[in-house]
Amino acid sequence: MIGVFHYLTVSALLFFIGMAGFIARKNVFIMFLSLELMLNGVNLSFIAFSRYFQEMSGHVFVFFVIAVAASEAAISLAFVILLYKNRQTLDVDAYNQLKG
Amino acid sequence: MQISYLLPLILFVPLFSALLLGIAALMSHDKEEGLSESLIGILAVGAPAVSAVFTLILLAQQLTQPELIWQFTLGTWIRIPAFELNMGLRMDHLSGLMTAMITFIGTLIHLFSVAYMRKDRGFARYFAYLNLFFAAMLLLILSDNIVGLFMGWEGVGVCSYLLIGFWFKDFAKAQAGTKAFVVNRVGDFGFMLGILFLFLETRAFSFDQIQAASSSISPAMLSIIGILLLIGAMGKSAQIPLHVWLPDAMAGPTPVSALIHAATMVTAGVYMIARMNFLYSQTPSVSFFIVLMGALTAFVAATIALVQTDIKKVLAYSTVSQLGYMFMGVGAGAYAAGVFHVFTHAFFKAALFLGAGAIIHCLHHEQDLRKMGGLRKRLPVTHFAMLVSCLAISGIPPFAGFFSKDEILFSLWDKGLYAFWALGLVTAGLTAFYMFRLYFLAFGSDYRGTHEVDSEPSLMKLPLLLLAAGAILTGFLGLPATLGLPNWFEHFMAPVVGGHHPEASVALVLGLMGVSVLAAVIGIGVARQRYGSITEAPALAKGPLAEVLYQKYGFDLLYEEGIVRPLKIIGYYGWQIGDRALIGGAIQFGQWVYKVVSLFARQLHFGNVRAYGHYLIIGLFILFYLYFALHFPGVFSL
Repeated sequence: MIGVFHYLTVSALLFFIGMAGFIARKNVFIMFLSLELMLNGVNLSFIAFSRYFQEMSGHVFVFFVIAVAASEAAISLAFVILLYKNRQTLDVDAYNQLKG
Repeated sequence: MQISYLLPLILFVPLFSALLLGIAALMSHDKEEGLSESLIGILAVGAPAVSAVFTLILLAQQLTQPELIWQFTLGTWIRIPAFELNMGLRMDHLSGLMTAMITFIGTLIHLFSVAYMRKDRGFARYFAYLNLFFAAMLLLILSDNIVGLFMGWEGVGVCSYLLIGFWFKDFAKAQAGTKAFVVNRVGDFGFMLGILFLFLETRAFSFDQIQAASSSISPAMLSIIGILLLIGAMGKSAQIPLHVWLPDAMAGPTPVSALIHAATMVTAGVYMIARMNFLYSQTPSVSFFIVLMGALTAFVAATIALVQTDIKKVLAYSTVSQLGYMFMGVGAGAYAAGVFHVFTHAFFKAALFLGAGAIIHCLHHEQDLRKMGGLRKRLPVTHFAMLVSCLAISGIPPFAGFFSKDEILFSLWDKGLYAFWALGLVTAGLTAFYMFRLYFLAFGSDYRGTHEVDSEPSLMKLPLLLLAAGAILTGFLGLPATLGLPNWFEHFMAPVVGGHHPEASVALVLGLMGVSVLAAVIGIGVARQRYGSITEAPALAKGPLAEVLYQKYGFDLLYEEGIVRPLKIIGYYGWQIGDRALIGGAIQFGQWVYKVVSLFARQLHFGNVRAYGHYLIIGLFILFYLYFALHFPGVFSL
């Protein structure tokens, strides 16, 4: 029988894989994908808890997260294109102009 | 008391036109060319002309009904439990005559200005200021309360400042404007205190109520108020020691000098004293002080005028000197005589200034008398107007100045102020000398200058001729009553300033007249002998006395060293210590603290995006840890 615990395990795995990707990779595009992965990890735990507690507010959060993630994706992809246009690279270590 | 709707219109027509002209000037200030000059000229001259016509309509009815006082209340300005202040206008016999004089001469000077200011880039701006001045001056004269008078008083001061510094790109001219404004502020401060004390004593602002309550004020308080108001009058009317601004005010366009710094604004002090005659007639000591300052001013300014070479400076010092005469007159209690001199002086001094303006215009802005000469044939109309006015100011009968000046000298004699009478007589001789020095240097013998001489524009001739006619004829309004002749002017003024009928034998009066005419004739004779037929520019006078006169008795030096420089030094240290060291230092210290802190903080931002990602995640873990550690104690101890 698959319980809420399994769902939470998968959710945590997704989240930490995303986090590791975000920290370890240098490609802006991959970092961005990792962020999306983290968001979906969180979404999954929302849904799991929602089901477990027989509560709809978790669903509402998920829809918000998806909506926000969609708009954020639109903007971020535009940024990535602009960054590439400006620096001809996607390596985040090259974007070091803003330093104190 | 009778209400007239023309009364506010006298004031508001020029005010409205000033507004329109101001808009026109603003709209075109950054363009190559302004609105058409003839359009602006028609508006600018039309507004004062309309005022003049309305004034004459009102004055004509006053002539037939001696008790008639026009009035109009615009509304309540301030209403608080302590008092109520109405914005009221009032035209009695004193203000009626002043208004008539101002509107008539003002219109002529506006007309002259159209020719004088032709092709000046600030044409619309000039007339906006001039019309605004006109409205402020009329408010000063027509207000029925002292607050309104003060508003007009300040308004004319502002316009005077704006017009002296009209060509503000010349720093010296801008500075002359500032000087006039600042010196006037000194006087205005006294004036304002006088108004406040007067209010504390009488609880009223309107002249009627002040007059009614003035008899209950203690004499000491009355003297204080009188002195304070007098300080304001001395600032505005350029009396020693506040006279220094008027000669510098000649930096403005010449018609401005004619209108503001000779005919109208500077006589506001005399008008104010005549308006408050009920107060000054109760304070003999203050009145004596007025005579003293007036006599001193008249004499000192006349002596300075002896050595001036700038045609406008001669006229400026002569104005200061004549204002001294007016102060002597009102100080001696002869208010009608003082105002009569204001009236006649306005005509011949405006004619003199406009004549000087015409000369300056035709000589391409040459103001030095030594480079003139022989203009009698080249500028015949100007020559005629200037000659008539010189005779009038010198006190040669039957020209206007003779009657008014003699009236003042006679009242000094009549009050037993023989020393001041003698000083006035000497000043009259000096006046005749320096005016005819000017006349002979400008018009006598041959032309010494290098500029080509243009002929005067016809637009300049009309005002000059009308003012010259005034310089000849206005004297007959105030024939000496002591000789049994009708003194119409004094009779007309009697409802405001009271009748004044000294008894004197005909022989004495004729004798005094003879002496003063003799002084004038001697002055003219000396001037003719010294300057009548010179061929070369006269050398500057030498010697210690002349040096004192060139230094203008050191007033400017005294103010420069005694007030301006100490203030500058205080200002310098205030800037260096107060502003830069204390206030600036505190701010600099705060900035320094931030700098030091940021020196460390900015080490964390070295520009690596992944490092920032690490910060985020480390921060997240710290937050988690804190949350659980605080809300679930013991969860990490296991």
